[in-house]
Amino acid sequence: MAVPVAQQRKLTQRSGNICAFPECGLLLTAQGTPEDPVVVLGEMAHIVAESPNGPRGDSPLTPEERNRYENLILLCNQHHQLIDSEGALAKYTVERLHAMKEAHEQRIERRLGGRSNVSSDLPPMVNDTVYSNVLPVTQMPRYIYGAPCSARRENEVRPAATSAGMMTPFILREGRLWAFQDLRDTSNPFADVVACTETERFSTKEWWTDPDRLGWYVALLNRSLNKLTGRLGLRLDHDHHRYYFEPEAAGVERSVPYRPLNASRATRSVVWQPKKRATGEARNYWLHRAVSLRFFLIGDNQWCLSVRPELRVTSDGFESIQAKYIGRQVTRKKSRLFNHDLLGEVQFWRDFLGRSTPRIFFPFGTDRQNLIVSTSLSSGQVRWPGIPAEHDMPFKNVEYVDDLFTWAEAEGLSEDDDPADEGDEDAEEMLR
Amino acid sequence: MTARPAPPSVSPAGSPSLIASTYFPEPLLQFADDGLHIDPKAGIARYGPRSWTASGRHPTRLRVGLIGTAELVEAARTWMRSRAEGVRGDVNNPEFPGWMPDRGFFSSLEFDDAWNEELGQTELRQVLEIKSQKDRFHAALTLFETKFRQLAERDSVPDYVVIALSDQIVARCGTADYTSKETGAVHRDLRRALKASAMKFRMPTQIVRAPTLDGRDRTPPSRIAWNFFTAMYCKAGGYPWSPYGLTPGTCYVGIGFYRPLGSAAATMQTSLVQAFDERGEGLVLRGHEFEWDPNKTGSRSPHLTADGAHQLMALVLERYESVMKQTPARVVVHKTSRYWPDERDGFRAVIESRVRRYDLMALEAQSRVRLITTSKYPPLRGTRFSFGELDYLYTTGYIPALNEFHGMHVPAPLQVADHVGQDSSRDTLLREVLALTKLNWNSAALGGLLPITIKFSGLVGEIMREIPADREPLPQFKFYI
Repeated sequence: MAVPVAQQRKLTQRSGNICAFPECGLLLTAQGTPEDPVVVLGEMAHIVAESPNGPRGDSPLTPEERNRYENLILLCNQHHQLIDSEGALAKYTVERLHAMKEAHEQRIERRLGGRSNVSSDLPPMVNDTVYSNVLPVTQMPRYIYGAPCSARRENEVRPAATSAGMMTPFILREGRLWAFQDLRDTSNPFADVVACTETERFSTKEWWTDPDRLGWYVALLNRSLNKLTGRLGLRLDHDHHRYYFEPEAAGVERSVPYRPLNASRATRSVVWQPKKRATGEARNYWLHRAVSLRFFLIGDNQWCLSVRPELRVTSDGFESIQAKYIGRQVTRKKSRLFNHDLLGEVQFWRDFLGRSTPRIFFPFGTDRQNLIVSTSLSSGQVRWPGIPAEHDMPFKNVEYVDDLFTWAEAEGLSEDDDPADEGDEDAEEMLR
Repeated sequence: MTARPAPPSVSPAGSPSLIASTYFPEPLLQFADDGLHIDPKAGIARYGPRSWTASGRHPTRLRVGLIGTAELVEAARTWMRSRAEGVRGDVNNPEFPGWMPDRGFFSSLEFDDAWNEELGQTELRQVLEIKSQKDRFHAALTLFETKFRQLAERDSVPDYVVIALSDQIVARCGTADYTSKETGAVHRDLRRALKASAMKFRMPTQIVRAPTLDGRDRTPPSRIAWNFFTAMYCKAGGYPWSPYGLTPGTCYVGIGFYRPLGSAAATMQTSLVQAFDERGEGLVLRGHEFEWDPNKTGSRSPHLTADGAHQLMALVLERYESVMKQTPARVVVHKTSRYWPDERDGFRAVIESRVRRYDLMALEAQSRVRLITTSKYPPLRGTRFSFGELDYLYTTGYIPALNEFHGMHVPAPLQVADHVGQDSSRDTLLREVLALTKLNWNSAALGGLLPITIKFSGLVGEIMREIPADREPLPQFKFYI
């Protein structure tokens, strides 16, 4: 296969008709006869040989690529022989010949002071949409109530069930019980253990600016997560601060329905005992889908919930296995979560935690006091060189829409019960 | 007690948490003849190592000493000689161009029995037979230290020493876990202990295990050679590449902490700093010891007092000035935890009196927040994004120039956990972070997760904890890697 004429032209023009070997400088045309006035002395040398058996020929380049400008260097006969000679092959490697050619071409351009018509050699940029594993909080409780508490330990507090479905997270700090319910109200769930008349009320925003109080606030949010996940049947793994599925009965695998990325409905294994591929024999451990959830403040009064999918390993569906006893294979399985798997996992968890609705709802009793997390994936635009389209994976961003029940749930929240709330536009904004 | 900082500022009227993303192209590195490339391997193969033509630091020949059993000494010499010729690559691993006068690192290896110390069968058996793990570890360390001393006392000493470890030594003496009455639970690691010991004799060392020499190690051979010889070049005093485009006159500082070995209180900490100039050359300095009680302070990561921060920064600036013969025009400090008000005030007091521009940054490796693409591959290395006021930078990820992604699982971005001082734009600072992830001369990889300012404070701390408080640790990096 010959070198195409267009490739030859590129090479000779960019080499300035001079041998590219350092310090050679030989002009590659000479005066000929009147009949043939210009004699060509230059030789197009292959950096990677044209044939796989030739000098530096062991390369993934295709035959066509081997005859392109990128793989050719213009040399005089003497230096062409030198770089291809058996004894010098270790010295004149592919990379060094590329460097030699580049340096030569740059030298030619600099010497001749050519005006560049290239604006930049940056790779072409494309716009892409990226998603994240972070869900925006659309409403935070506005107040925290604290009152002196007779109980000293948290397990001595038994909140009364005031209304169906209400969550009653609380913390004990500095002799007071802190909760999202209005402790001034004598029918509050903690009325048995707190002094209602001595209730203090703080704006939550006030707490967010104080490092110690912020810590308390996050603790209260974590208790709320415990309540939410508890209702969904997840267990808390205290050691790793994560929630996981447990089998409903010993030795029985479990799966739950959800709405996956690219289909309307599916089920997903959440507790299972892996099998050996070759024999079908069960392995000696169980895997559990697990999730680590964390609320964090990103500034401007805006909170987010991060969703980090994980796996828990047990020996029998219940008993945890310590990391050092987990085989390499399991560790590898855990670490082999690729980008698209992560997207699928995040999709599963937002669907599961939000019960396929537009929001994850933490009911604390009164409308503006509820905590609401949107189940829309945070997304944004990025301009970058991109990832080749051949690696694209199918993706349909599921947007949840309200049905009659979820709409009523959200709608029922908008009655205003506190005159002091008037003029606070944030809450209005967040409820939209 | 050191005061704790306030959380991110909270202002009214929240905007939704849209992600805003930008992308920084892969930073360039500089090689011999001012050749530029993004990839250390391609750059060295094309142009040669940076100091070959850029300074008087290039080692034209390297005297290699060997320590090990007679068999392993021979195996190590043969292995090095053959790899120095060059190692062929494959589709995913570029060929290693060699360590020869006319190619690759443009240097030659010299071996001589006078620079070797063999481990005899008897002395080795005496160590391996010891029952107690702790005693065995100490006996092994003493044996190697004897060998270092004998080498150091010769008339002609090697420039660099390769320690070849047999499977037996690694299995029986590689680590030791014991408890002592004074210090509680102690974990020792032979590699770190050997580095600290060899430092007494000013010997840069490289540890090689038997599987590398006999081919049981399945890592692609060209990759092993790249990492081995790149680190060797650095230990021989050269610098394989230097960063390109960092702000001249800047002193980049990394701050870390470690718990000294044998400290009675589990709460004792020592600070260490490293200063880098814009060429990427670094200095290791040890700060003072101090108490840190996580329970009392409510934070597991140690924080300096105002005085401690003051002392440490003064030490950095003095050393920078004595080495560079000028005051830095700019100081950038990297640390993994936030700057508590006392720390901030201590640093500021010193910096503001001597330097015009400074930025204190906290960078945290976290996996809470990630971007997800709709591709098989994760986001690109160099992607910067923000959520509200929080800023993130991907230093690992898909690399378009190489059409590949290093690592198995989904990468996680670094978070800017804190930033004090606004003398440089966030963009400039994060570009510098990305460039500083490429300065790990202990490997020929394109870039790492952490900038070397922070990355090395961890590595150095592991070795420095083995050096007693009354012995001055050497400031050169080559003794720690």
